[in-house]
Amino acid sequence: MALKHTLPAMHDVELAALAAGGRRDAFGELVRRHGSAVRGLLLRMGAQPATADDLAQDAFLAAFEQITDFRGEGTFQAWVKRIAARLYVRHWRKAAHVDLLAETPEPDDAPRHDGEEGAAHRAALRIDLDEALKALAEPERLCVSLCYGGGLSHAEAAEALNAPLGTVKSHVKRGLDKLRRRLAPPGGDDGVERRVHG
Amino acid sequence: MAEFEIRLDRMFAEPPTFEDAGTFAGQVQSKLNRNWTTRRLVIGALGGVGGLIGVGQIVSSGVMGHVKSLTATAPSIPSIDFSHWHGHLGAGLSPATSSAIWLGLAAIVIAVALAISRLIEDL
Repeated sequence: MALKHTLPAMHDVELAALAAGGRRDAFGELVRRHGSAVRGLLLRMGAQPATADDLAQDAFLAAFEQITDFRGEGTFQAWVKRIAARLYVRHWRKAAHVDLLAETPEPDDAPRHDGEEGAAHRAALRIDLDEALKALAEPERLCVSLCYGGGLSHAEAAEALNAPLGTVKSHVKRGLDKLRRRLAPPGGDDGVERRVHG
Repeated sequence: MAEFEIRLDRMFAEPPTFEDAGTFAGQVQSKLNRNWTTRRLVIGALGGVGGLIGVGQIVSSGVMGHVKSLTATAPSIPSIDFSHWHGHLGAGLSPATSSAIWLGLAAIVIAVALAISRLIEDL
């Protein structure tokens, strides 16, 4: 089993090929490399920590079952993230309290401190992505995370969520606008008036 | 793509740090091993049951009698006098006990075959 010592030095695609041949230790190395990314994505999508861990485990087990489908066209991490994102959507749809098909009211998210207090307040709002995502409405957070974290296209996200494409695009756009405001560099252009294209 | 979206992509690509990352990987690995072992046991058990049913069918179909009659009418193969072996194995035993012995032998053959297949797989 000298190969075991070389696993950490191997490329993801090589490890996936070994895993496809039944090498569970090779797949274990992939889990060690990408486990945090998958768990992080699920948390950013809105999962509770325990749920995120369970779903991340399920995603990796599903990935092992389907490992022959991974052909190295994209990264392994992106591939597992897509599996995890879809699993979370399924979980979310079972327990969802929010109807994605319904238009959500515009949350009270506009900066309350303008003028001279604005810059100081924006500095206080210099928070990381995880905190910024918490400020989004649930469907916005889910749609933004699916498209930017999970790597799904708008159409794929709409299909996964069983929601109209226009609704998903609308949630993504609103979510991006809010994130742009939240993540604006202090003292710089906060981009409040900018709009996302495409 | 807008500059902000590129930045957002980058932020999403940066995974948070988990202190229990090693534990998580271990949990996935042990689940994987457990699933694998369960699957192997189920397949092995199904194979064993199938083998035993097959051997049972062969024994109950009276193939032994056919073999016995064939060996009796085939003096050109004296070294494979099955009836001789069958006679020794079955000597002093009831037909049911004799069948049980044959089934046991078949089970051993299946077990050895499974062990060899596992050995080959591990290699």
